[in-house]
Amino acid sequence: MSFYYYRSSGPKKSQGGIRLQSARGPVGTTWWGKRWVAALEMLCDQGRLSRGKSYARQGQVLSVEIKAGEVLAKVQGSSSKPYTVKIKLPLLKATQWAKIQNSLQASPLHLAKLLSGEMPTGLEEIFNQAGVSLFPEKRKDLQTDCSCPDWSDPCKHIAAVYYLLAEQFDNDPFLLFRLRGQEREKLLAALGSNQTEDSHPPASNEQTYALPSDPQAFWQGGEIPTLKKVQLTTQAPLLKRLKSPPLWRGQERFQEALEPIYENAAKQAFALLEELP
Amino acid sequence: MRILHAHFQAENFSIWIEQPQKKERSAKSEQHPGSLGPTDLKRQLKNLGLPSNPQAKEITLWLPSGKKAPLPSQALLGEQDKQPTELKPWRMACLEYSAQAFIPWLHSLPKHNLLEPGILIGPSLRFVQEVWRWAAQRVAEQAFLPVLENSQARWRVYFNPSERQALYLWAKAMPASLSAQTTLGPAPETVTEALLNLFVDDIVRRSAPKHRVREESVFDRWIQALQNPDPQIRHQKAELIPLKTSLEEWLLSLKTLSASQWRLGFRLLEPQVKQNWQLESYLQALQDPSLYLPLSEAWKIKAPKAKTLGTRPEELKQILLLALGQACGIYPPLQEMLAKASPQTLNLKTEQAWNFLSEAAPQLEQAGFGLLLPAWWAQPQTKALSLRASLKSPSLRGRSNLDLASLMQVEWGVALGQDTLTLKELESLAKLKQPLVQFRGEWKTFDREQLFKALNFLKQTPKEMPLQALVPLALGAAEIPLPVSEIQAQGKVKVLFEQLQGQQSFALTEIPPQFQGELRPYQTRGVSWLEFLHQWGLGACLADDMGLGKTPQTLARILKARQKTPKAPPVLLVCPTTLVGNWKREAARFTPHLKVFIHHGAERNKLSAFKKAIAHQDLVITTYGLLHRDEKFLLPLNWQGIVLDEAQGIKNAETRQSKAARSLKAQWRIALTGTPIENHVGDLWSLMDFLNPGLLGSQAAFKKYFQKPIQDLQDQESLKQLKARIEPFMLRRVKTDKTIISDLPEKLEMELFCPLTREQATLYQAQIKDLERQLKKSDGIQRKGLILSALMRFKQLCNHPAQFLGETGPLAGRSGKLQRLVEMLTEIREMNESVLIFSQFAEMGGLLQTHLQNCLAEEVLLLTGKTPKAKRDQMVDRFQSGQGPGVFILSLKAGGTGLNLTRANHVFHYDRWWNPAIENQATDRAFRIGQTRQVQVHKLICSGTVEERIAEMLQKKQELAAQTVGQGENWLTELNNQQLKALFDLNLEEALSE
Repeated sequence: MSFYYYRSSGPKKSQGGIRLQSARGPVGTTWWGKRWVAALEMLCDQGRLSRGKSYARQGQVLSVEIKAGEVLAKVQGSSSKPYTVKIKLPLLKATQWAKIQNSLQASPLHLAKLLSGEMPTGLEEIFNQAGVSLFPEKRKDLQTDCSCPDWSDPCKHIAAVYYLLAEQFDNDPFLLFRLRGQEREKLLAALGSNQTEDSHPPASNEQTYALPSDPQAFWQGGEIPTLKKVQLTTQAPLLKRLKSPPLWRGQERFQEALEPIYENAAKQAFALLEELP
Repeated sequence: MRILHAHFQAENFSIWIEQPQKKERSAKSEQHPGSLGPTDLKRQLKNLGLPSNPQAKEITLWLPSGKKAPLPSQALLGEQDKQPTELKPWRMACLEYSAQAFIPWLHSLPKHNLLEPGILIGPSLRFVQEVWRWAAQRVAEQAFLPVLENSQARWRVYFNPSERQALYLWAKAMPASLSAQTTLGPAPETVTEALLNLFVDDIVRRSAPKHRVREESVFDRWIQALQNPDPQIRHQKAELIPLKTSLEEWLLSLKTLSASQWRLGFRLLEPQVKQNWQLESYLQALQDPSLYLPLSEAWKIKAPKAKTLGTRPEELKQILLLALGQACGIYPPLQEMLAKASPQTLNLKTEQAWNFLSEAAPQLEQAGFGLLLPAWWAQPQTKALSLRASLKSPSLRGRSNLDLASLMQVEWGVALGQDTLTLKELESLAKLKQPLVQFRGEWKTFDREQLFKALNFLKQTPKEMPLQALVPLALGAAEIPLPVSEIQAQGKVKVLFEQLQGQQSFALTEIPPQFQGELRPYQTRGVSWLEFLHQWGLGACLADDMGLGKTPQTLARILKARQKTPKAPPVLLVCPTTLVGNWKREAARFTPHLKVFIHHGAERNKLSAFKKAIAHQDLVITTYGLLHRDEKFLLPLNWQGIVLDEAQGIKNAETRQSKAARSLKAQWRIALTGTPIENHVGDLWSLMDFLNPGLLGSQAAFKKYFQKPIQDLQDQESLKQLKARIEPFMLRRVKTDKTIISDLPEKLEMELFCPLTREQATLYQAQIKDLERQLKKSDGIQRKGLILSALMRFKQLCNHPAQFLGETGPLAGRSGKLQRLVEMLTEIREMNESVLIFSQFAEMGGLLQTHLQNCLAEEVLLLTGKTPKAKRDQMVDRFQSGQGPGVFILSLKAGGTGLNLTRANHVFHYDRWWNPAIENQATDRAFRIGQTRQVQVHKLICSGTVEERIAEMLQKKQELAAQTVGQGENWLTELNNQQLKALFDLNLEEALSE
């Protein structure tokens, strides 16, 4: 152990890593994010947890890839080469999945919430009824591995990735399903349709447009539509509706970086309109 | 005339200028024969305030063309003969601007198309400007999103599904010339959207707080580049992928909903007795907005029914859930709607309903959801509290007359919508948690702040007010914290209010016998109206159509005022310089008893002399220019009355002359104008501030509540309200009004006296000296020829120095006649009436055509002896059709006979042919069978010159028998030198305009 501490004069500074959006305090603002974190905190000592959290805040996690049953991540530690972190969760069996699907169909609220990026509280219950736990509960639910020399498992690198995942799940609970082997599309199939495939915007007729040779149409054009009265908006409802992009890696939190731009722009545009001759 | 065209390509704007095509040019050249060359282009654009730093470039555009040349874009630049057209490529010089360099200039372009005389904003440029306005609106409504596009960080407009339709309407309005570099160009939707996006990006980027981000990842560089002037992101290969994936996923749900044919909406229902408010959700079909599916129905819909709606049950469910889920982010209580297995309506308490209406609803609407709210919510008048007053007639103890100073007993009340509230009710409203209340069976909302203002007002306002303060209130002009919805009065005061609002007529006044001439009944009504408003100390705007006699009505009014109080200080009349002579003449004709003093011209009185000079005058006439320059003469005086002729002269409230006019002191005020107000809402404030200060509130408030909504949004409700406020002070009769026209003559002949400019006067004086010298040396035939050619030269001089000197170039500001003609034509064309202009000089016709086109920004026809027969017929047809040009210049010889031009109801004789028969024949082109309107004949005459003297002779037929005159101008040669000198001499004081 002393050997380990000796070597650990802090990690190498990373660039462009994924950062936790929460600047201080506990990670996981939603109940499901908290549940996810709780599972880790059960298995790991306090020192590693808090170091892992600050790793995640400093952007030491360089990449995260969420696949069915597995998370692969690179974390910049004290060694020059980043460590590789693996986190494995058991995949859902087909029968278990069928049961879950069935229950979801009976509960529109759950789906609506999921679609809008929220994990409904009743979902855990639905999983339990299907005989699986939504979150890792026992040691064997969560298999972790890191290429660092720390013997302890989970180590701080694993913890860093784990916290980061918690925040991603906060924004997009579907990621949790992906990890359990079910993609968003399959989940939506519970409704009998696919969300994205047949909903392309109408194709533009760019190739077929020919310039008119009639002088009136060519030079004058048609009547310009009358604009309706403008309403100054400052609360950025569009931004509110969309939340943050998944796996955000910026230094600043997404909403906080954009809100002042939205506010300034709306006010400035409104003032310009007032000034028009 | 030059027309500015815009071309848009690859985020850059190219400006090129088109002018009339040169006649001779090499047929093979592909150079656009009407395009301005690089040097002229640069100079012109610099003059117009555009940066001139870009190098002139050449572009090639495909334009509709005839056999040999491109067609002019507008008839103003030359004829667009009816011929088969095809697209051909033409090269022209242009200046290319980036959006950043171009937008500030675009922002400054005025609403009207004539940028300055001779420079027209083309439709393509206008379209670009309007798209900018649209973009600014989208930004003000925060309908934009950041994107990653070709490794650039850009801002893009966001359309919710129903708004997307607007793009197609805009694309339809786009002139194809804006994007014509290839014959198979990008679709107008694509161009319009690119333009819109470019502007949105520019506005957001420019206003960004310029915050510096510590750049570590490509995510940071993206955020930074959204705020930088340069949108480019520095990056290494493959680095962008995680950012791209992240952003794509972020926008996924929005895209899915945007692509849907359905839109989610919410409907708030008023509560039934003792129940809660109900919030329902529904799906609405975008293609057929009348098609609503309530949430419960959409949820349970079966496949066959869904098929008839062109959808599938799963699709509806998915849209519903996705949209509801997003709506929850804005209004969390919606979650409850989905709490059970089948969706349901939501119950809201009144406080919650208020919260939904006032806070959630606007946000939901901005975010693209549909909303059906109770009708009263959208109506501002039921929202607002207003004041009501009931007046008690004062006891007129010992005082014989009610006047504006009389104190009135006022009982104030506060109304919510239509209902008057008691003080108790008002106080109970103030205690409510939310300003939403069921009041006498109906739901009402009010502004809390207003409520407290109302309470304060009731507690503090005096019970007595002078009538003067109540009149504007009765007409809806509020200077107090709340709008006044009603003033009840009795007796004389009631009559006054009703008269002001046109609900009761007023007594006809008697026109004094000293008034020379007969006033028609409607004119007598006009004079009575002016007097009526004056009695109550109110200003009046007489806005009768041109030709209905505003001048005699005003003079009669002045005469009556002078007779009543002859010792009062004089009346001040302000008019444009071109009209001073006219007023003087008309006053001498209608009211010869009035002592008129002209304060005008370079030799006008100095201060001390001025005071003395006007001491015993009845009427002082001066000009707008002197209002400011001689402020210290005019402002300190207490005039009996003030008349502003062509009162649009003070329309710009900021100008010195407007400020000076509004600070003049007088007992009564009259403004005269001939144009309908709807076209010039912006000019009204200044005019009304002169007439009745405070009536329209502050200028800023007027701009906000009336001018902007009416001009920019064509808001009919605001226009109605504005009209209600000003109508009591504005009298406008139109010629087409049958009750007026029944006592109008069919032909009205008027002489219009115009001043000379300094240049004209100098040339004129030199000519006189020259003539005198030559007359002494000549006799016989030589003398005859000399006189006739002198007469011609004087006429040319009066027409325009350029004609006299045989030059073409700049015409503006050099001829009083031309200036007056332009002023009148502007007014006439604004009312869409048509005009013939006769001149005996073909070259003057040419000068007039160029200048009028430049000033009026419309095509003007010209017919001379050189015009071929076929062309003549074509011109006459176009003019008569009513669709073509509305101004037709004809040379007296070529156009004076034979033609049928009854579309015109105005005839101008720009110069005089001293033969009434020939003039009448020309006039008869318009005044003949087929003419349904009154024809106004305007004869332009330069004051103080030979033109005026001959006009006098003709009128008096002095010394000259009619048949002598009938023979043309030869009689002039019979006059002796003395007589000739008297005839040609220049009365400088009469003639000069400055």
